Amino acid sequence: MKLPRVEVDLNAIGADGLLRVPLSRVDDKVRRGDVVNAVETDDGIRAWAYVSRVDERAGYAFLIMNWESMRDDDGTEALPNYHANVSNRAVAAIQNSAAARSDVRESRVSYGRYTA
Amino acid sequence: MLCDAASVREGLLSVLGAGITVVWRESFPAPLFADLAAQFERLDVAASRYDVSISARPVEGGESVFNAELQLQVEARDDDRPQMIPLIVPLRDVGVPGPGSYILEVFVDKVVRGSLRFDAVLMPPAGHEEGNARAVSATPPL
Repeated sequence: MKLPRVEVDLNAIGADGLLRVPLSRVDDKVRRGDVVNAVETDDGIRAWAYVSRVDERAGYAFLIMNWESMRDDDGTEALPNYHANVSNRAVAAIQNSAAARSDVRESRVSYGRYTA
Repeated sequence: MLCDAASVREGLLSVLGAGITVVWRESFPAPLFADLAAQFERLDVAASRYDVSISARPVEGGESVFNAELQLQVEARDDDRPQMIPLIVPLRDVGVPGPGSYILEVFVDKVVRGSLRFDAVLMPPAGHEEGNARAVSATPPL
């Protein structure tokens, strides 16, 4: 997975908490909803950031920084600690009462509570 | 449905790890790291192109948090056999700005053809009484 790389200046935070970035510093086209690798080369750090707004006319993207994801920039594009940071789950609680009452050739079919 | 991965082969939809309803993250904003897999019935066999759009927004309302648009080209058919059109939308590199409940809607030619809800949840911090950091990462509470 490769996220767009954006060169940021961490001092360019507005009063609204958004980080303003010239679109010329974005290595790919971005739009609202994209997650990017925000990199500050001078300090050698990077973090995830969410593109909150793109103003094509003014030539700026506005980012919400994930400060807790900040770490040293090792030059790779992959997200750091992918497995430690990510957990997608299904949450279901199924009680198949109809099946639990069914008889199949005198064998009881029973479904317990299933939680995934 | 949201899933870990999906592919289409000869019109057949193959899906891995489907049914994601909760995305746990240690911090936000965070990437979704999931794909959308869908199938919809082709009601108009004469149509050869469909405009599909995806929109996710907070359940409580407000501006969409991400959108996607794509165009599907479908072979023309002259019979009336049922046809299901598979659809995969990569959502790995879009994200949500913060924890909360979101609804994701699929529009085909501007008509809602499906929707699903998912929750983005902040993982308990490391050292939380329910478990240490690794245990929490491996098995988030339901």
